[in-house]
Amino acid sequence: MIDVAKAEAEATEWGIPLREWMELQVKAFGNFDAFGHPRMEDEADEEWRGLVAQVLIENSLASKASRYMQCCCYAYLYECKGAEKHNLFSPIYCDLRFCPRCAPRQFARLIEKYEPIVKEVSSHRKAGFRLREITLTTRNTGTLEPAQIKRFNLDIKKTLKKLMEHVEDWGAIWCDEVGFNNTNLHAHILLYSPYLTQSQLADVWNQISGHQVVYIKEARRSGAKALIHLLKYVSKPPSSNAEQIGLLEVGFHGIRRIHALGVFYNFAGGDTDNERSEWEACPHCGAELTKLPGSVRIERAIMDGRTFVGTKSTPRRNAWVN
Amino acid sequence: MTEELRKEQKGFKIWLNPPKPGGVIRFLGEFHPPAGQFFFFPKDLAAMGLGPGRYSVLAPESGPYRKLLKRWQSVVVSG
Repeated sequence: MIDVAKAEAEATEWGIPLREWMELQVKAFGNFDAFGHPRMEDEADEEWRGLVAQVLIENSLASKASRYMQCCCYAYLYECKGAEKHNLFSPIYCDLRFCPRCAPRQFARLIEKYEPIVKEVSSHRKAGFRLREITLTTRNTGTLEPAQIKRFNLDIKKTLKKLMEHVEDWGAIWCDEVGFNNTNLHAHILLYSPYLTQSQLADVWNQISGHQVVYIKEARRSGAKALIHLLKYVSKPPSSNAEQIGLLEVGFHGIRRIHALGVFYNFAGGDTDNERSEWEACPHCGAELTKLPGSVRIERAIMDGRTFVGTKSTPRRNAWVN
Repeated sequence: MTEELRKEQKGFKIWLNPPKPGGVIRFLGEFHPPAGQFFFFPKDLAAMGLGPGRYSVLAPESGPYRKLLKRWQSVVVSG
């Protein structure tokens, strides 16, 4: 593979551009491995994705399995309507929750969505209100079924609403989480509320869900940092085991992982990535873009000299669940 | 090529290719072809004191005869 620092140093020393440095390497060695072998480098990743996809297929989620396998391998093609008809491409992502490529992107989108309101409440706090970090846990049953996760989320909602009965302007965001390489379902909650004792929380949680272990503390970090701490679980793979990842995708199929209540629900910022983005226009000339039919492998699009234009909104992503 | 034209033309950059892949490419400097020529023959490199080997020669981007010249040339000086 190319050593960029060495290449740049030599090109500068010899007074030639990097393009000519590359041509010289080809002249001297006949062939030059500039970027490594794409297929060879992808093999381990594809094998791992194959194992996850297998679990999805076994659980009647063939379409998700296909998306997971093809994530970032193919691209949609675009052409601008300008005089020069610039050629562009946009990678096709799977948008699955536990995809190592898509999870960090979803994390970034969630931060953009919730950061404004969290910052707002922490800088203009109501008297007696604080941001509090709560963890609610369940007994580990060894399995993760969609019905179980739905019930868990409903219990959290009921618990928070009961605790905040007659309280105005409170808000909560929570993220469903499982322990690393196990099925220990729990939720991290960022609650904007008046003072609440651990025993109050434990009593209501136990009354509604039958589970007992809870944890609460005042968020000592800034609102934005507390939000990042809460949402970091979205970007972290909860398992190193492909089968476990597959089972998590099955468990969370059709279920949101991030939930918001109260002011955090009402005033969440826009998901700008889902709305009209700068890529609605050609990055070269600003002309409108037309989507061409079909898709090609990304390396083909790059070899054809197309320009990367980020992700485009698709109907699936407009109905995006986190 | 007249001497004036020759001087007007920028130098050719010359590198010695390594004998084996993975070796080091050595930059030798910028040179002008001998009077009356607008590119290098192997004998020219030998006359310049360059030993046997394969050389990569990069012609200047502009100058007389630019369109007649290949940008890159491989010149082999035999032992």
